[in-house]
Amino acid sequence: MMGMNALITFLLSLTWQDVVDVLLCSYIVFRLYILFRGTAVLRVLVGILLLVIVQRCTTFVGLVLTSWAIQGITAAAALIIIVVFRNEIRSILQARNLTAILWGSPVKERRAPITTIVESLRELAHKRCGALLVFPGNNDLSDITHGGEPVDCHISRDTMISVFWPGNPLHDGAAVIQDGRISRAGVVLPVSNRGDLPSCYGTRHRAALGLAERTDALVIAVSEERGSITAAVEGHLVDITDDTHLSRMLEQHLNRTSPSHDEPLRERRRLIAAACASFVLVCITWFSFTRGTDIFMALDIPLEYINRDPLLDIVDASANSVRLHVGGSGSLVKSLSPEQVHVQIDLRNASPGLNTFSISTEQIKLPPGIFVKKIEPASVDVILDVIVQKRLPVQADWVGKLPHRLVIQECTLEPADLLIEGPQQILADTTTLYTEKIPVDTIEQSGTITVPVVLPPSLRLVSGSDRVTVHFTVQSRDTSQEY
Amino acid sequence: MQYRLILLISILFVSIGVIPCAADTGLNLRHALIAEDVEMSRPVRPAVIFPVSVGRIVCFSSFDSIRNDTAIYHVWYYRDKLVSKKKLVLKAPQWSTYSIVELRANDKGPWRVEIRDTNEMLLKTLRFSITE
Repeated sequence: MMGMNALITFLLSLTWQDVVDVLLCSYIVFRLYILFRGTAVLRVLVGILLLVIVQRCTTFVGLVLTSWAIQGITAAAALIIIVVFRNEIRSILQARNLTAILWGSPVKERRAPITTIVESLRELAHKRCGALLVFPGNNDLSDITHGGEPVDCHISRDTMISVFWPGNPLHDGAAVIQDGRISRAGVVLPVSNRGDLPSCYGTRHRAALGLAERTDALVIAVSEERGSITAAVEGHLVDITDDTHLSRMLEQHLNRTSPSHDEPLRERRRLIAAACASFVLVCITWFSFTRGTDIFMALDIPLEYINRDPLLDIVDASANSVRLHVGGSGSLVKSLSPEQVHVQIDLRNASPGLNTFSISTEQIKLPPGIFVKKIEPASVDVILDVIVQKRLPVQADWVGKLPHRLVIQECTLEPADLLIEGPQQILADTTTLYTEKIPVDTIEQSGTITVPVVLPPSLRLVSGSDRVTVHFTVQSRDTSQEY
Repeated sequence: MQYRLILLISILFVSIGVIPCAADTGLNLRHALIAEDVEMSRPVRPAVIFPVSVGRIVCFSSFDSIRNDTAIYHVWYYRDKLVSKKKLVLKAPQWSTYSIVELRANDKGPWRVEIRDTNEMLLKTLRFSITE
């Protein structure tokens, strides 16, 4: 009963975002499996996942050094996987369109067109064109065969004859037929060392037998000299007498190794299992992120003012930032940075003068899974004012010590005033703009200097430069005794 | 008709000359400057930069065409802060007057003096600096 209550409480606490979050991530993981299954990338990804699990376990148990080392390896592995498997990743992204990546059916046509193959072999034999075809069984051939080029080409009489045409650079090797396509050509097969082979069998037959001895693959050799077809299977060479014989042999082999009539069902079951595994994996990860031990943290977040009337300016505010006490799962709170949190004050209905805005959770934008416990201060006073323009005179701000023998008798500024824009209240109290400090210590004679004007905060220049030219006239103190 | 027009224009001119303008005191500021001192009713060492060591500075102003005895104000500002507002009497037909500000060590910086009439109308602004 307690368990049922807990389950109901948990289900009620779920938001639609949580459900979408889990389903979306599950689908992404499932699609990754579909796209990368059968490749080394998936194996390495599984390896990394295992490393993460082991790292969590070692942390839980308290194996500090092991945990630290595995963490380092995992971090490096994530980078290495991109570098090492860049070709595989690129081929998946380049070769398939977006629909194939997001939705494409993973079921492939694996059945080889037997009739086409038989006819092609017969024609090759008739033309005395040597050929070597490999139909892999369940054994992996990658460690036994060498070389070759990926061709990934549709099987037809023309393509089969082109591959083994003497002018073709790949004609000397074997062609591998996989998933109803010519996957590779020019592949080098291991040669049989048997001494009891009749002399009529050449190197091509020895190569066919060599692979058949080591694997469950079916290899068909077409003799260049005799124009005959020979099959190598389970360590034996069998001369093919007619097309029916060849078709039956191919049929038997492909039926044994290729999908059977109930294969679509099995494939569907496999996909459902993969989808379920993805869902479970994502659920576990989601739980570890969002339903771990709650921790709290205080963050100082600057206030953002939005929807301000362009004719109004903020003159003053009682606070520039707020302290948020936020909580959530340990993993989420630890990874939280102030940049992810926004506190926005809507100034849409603000008027000139003092405006008080209370800060509630509606104005706070937080990453999912984080909640606000406390807001300090709970409200903020903002003084807004109308933006006006005013022409203000500029005055030179001289500093330092002028040599005693000299007197600066006159000083004019160009321009003498500047058009400034800012809040009405501030501009009303501002009567003069001052230049940056101009040192007089080194002045010896009359001259001209250009200096920037210091604009008070919240005031800005309407147009033009913020620099003025100061012309000054220097006289000797003795000659400026009287006016 | 021609005589009536001349009479109207004459009355208009006479009215302008006789009726005083309420806003305009009719003061003509001949000279205004900041100096280190005034000696024999004349400013001494006028300048726009004064070392604080001079101890005091003078705002000297000279008027002519004064129709009636009146007054002006010398309003002293250090940056935008009012320091002193001094009322000075002017006597017809011409008059020179001045106001003095004693300087202290922390008076360094930009200053200005606004010369205003009794209607607070700004006649002139003098700008200067006190340095080391």
